[in-house]
This record gives sequence, structure tokens and C-alpha cells, in this order.
Amino acid sequence: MLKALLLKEFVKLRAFWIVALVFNMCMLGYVYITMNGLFRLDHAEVVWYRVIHLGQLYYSSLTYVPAVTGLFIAAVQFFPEMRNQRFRISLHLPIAPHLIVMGHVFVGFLAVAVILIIDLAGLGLMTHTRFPGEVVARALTTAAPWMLAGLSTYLGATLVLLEPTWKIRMLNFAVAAGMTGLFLRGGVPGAYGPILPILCAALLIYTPSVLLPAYRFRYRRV
Amino acid sequence: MKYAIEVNNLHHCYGKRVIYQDLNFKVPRGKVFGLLGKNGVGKTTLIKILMGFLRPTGGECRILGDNSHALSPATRCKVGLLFEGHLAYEFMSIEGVERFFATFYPKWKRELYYGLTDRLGLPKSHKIANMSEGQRSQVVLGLIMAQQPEVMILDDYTMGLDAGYRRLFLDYLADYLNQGDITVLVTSHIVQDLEKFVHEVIFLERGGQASQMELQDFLQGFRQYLLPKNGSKPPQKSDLLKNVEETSQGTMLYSFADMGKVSEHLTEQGGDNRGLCEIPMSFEDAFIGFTGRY
Repeated sequence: MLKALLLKEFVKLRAFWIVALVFNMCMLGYVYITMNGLFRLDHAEVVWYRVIHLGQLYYSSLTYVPAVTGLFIAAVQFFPEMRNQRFRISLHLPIAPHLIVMGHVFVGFLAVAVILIIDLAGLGLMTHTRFPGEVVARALTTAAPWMLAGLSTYLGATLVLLEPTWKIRMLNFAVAAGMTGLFLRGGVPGAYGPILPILCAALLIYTPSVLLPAYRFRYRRV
Repeated sequence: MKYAIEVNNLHHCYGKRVIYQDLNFKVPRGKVFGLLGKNGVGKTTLIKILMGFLRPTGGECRILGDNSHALSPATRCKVGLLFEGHLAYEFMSIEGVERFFATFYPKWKRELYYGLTDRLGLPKSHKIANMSEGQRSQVVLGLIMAQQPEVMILDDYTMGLDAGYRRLFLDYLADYLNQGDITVLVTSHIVQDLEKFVHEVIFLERGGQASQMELQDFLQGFRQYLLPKNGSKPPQKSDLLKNVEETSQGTMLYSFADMGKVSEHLTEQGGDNRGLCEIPMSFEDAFIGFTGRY
């Protein structure tokens, strides 16, 4: 039964997932062009100096791309469910509501995560063509919180979209914005490195929070 | 378990507006119940409460013995639910949606589904999003019937359907109900459709009152009288006169009482009963007479 539910969500999301993937690939392409542009305009040692010692981010255009991706996937997944309260169809299925909700979230989360892993891998590979391993590691450490922001945005948008009342939806929006903001505070490249495991744990703890609006939607006045 | 649906001392309000005040009714197994009332009396609200999608202010509802706010998956498996507007997974195809739902219901009968959807003459790969409301209604009804539920709750199945699709829907439903001990609670704005297969009706009225009766008792007992305009004091609603409506022909009176009693009652109210006569009426006329026009 759960397999059918996951398949249904896959069918719903696949076309939109491809759109999101293409958007992310375009952004990666843009970063690649930007990076190569640096080497065309300056000598390699100057570019290395700027990137390694001055902390220039040739991939800063990726900062909000994961967040936009997470928002997009959550919107295309849960807007149709909330229109005319269509989510009731799923919640009437003869399986436990938490399995239904987490099944939906699992597929959406996975859809976002796969794109973001491709982004990270792409960034790592393109950096590797021009820079040493240390720069690759720092690029990945710098971009990793942006990727976590993408997952956080997906969960936050889900938290907002599933909530049936406007007042609590606004509260959830504040929580979601605050949570995503944690991953996008900037700082020097690689600054997030030491706390990445803690942020990952926070994201995992944050995940089941989507059950609350879903239960409020299902049973009201929870 | 004698009753498929039980509503006990139900109370619900939206802010200060009371929707139900101590609403009670029971739907015995194997019966078809029509839930009737004007717009805004709370038919859809009641169905939301029955299926646990809305928590009432007070009282409780039971479906197949389960509290409606704690319906077990096993009970949900026995309840076929048609949501207002024929809600469906629009991104799925005719074939895909059947395969999806089949995995959840052990008694699934795909031939019931395809018996209905094949009539649409559409390829199985046709997406629900590209269907008309009428076509979608057949898909949704097919899914509910293939589930073989013990209880069917159909919330305004007529919405958006033309006469042909309404008839197709009803014919299929009637065939399905002939198969066995199935309980149905149905709401509709096209009340004359219900006359053919409903056993009992529940009239919901503004302010939270409800009346439950056998359809035949209602059709035979509820009467319409015309009192021509005669310049006398207009009749007033009372325990005996369920409704009074002014029309161009005169005053229409609606009552469960026979003409003799109505005539006597008019005299008691100080009016003139000359020319009072009974006018035959359809179920729809009787429904409007009972609930009022506006």
C-alpha cells in the first residue's frame, strides 16, 4: 500500500521534478561559465589567490537555488492537495494518517534531495577541473548549508501549506523562515563546516513537525 | 451492529451561528438515506463531521460503531466516500487511478470500475484532469463501487452533472445497491432524483433542527393547499402549518394535516378558509414546501 502511495506521488511530481532539475542544471551551467570566465579574464594564479585567500565565491549564484527548488517542489506537491481540500482523498485511505503524510513528505524530500545532491556533485566536479582538492572541499562545505536550506524550505513550505487555519499558518511561516534562515546566514566560505552535523540533526528533528498541520487538517482542533 | 451511522446529541456552530442543536438520527444498515436541506443548513458540514474531517462542538457521530474522530483503517476500508465536486487525483489516468486504489481495498472489483468507465469511450491512459465533470463523476463512482463498501457517503453527487450523466450515475448506483446490504447517506440538490431509491429522508433546517421520516410517509402525508386571495388575515406558520408561502395565485399552505384540520385551523387563526383546496405536488415541490423557498 505504501508503495502505491509513493508511486502516486512520483507520478504527480515527475514532470515538475524534471523542470526543477533543468532549472538547477541551468544554474550549474551558469556557475561553470562564471568560473571559466574568471580564468579567461585573469591569470590562473590571480584567480587561485582570489578564491583561496580572498574567499571569492564564483558559485554564489547558487545560494538561493536550493531554497527555490524546495519551495517549488512543496508547492507543486501540496497546492493541488489543498485545493478543495483534495488531501482528504488520501487521508481517507485505509492506512494510518501518519504513514500517508510521511509517505508524501518522503517522496517530496527525496525529490528535492536528489536534485541538491546532483548540484553538490556538479559543483564539486566543475571545481575539481580548475582547483585543488582543498578548494573543492571548501566549496562543498560552503554550499552544503544552502542545500540543507533547500530541504528546510521544502519542509517549511509543507508545514505552511498543510495547515488549515490562517493564524497558525502565519506562525508556521515564521518558524519555517527562521529555520531556513539558520542555513543562509553567510559568513566566510566553509564557516558552517564544524556545525553541519548539528544542522543535519536539527533538520531531521524538524521533519516530523509536518505531522502537526496534517493532523490538524485531518482531525481539526488538534 | 444495527446502525451503520449514528448521530448523537450533535452540536456544532461556526462562531455564533448554530448549525446543529442536539441533532440525533440513526441510519439502519442496508437503508438509503437522503440528507436534504437548503444551501447553508450544514449538509456538507455534517458529512465532514461524520468522516472526521471536522470536529463538532459537542456530541458524537459513529460510523459502523467507530467514533467518527477515531475511524480505524479497517472501518475506513468499509466506507466509500464521494467528496463534493467529485474530487479525484487529476494527475492520474483512468488506468493509473484504478491500480492505485486497488492496492488499498481487499474486496476490490475492477470490473465494476471498468464497467462504468468503459462507457465513457475514453482510452485507459486518458488523464482525469482532461475530463469533464460528468466523466470525472463516473470515474469517482466507479472507484467507490469497486471498493465494495458497506457504507457509501455521497456528498452532492449531482454537482456539475447534466441530466444524462446524472441518470447514468443513478442507474449504476441503483444496480449496485441491488447487490446487497449497503447503507447509503446521500445529499443532493436535485431532490427528484432521490425519490427513486431513497428509503428515508432527513431534513436539516436552519437553526439546527432536523426531521427524519420514511420517504413514503413524507410523500403521502405531506400536503399542499392553496388558499385563494380573499382579503382576509393571512395564515401564520404554526405547529400544524409547517410552511406558508405567498404566490401570485394565493397562499400556499404546507402541512401533514388533512384538509379538514387545516380548514379548522385557519378558522381558529381568525382567517377565511373559503376556496381552500389541495394541490398535488412532486417530491421537489414537497421538499420546497417543507424547507421553504428562501
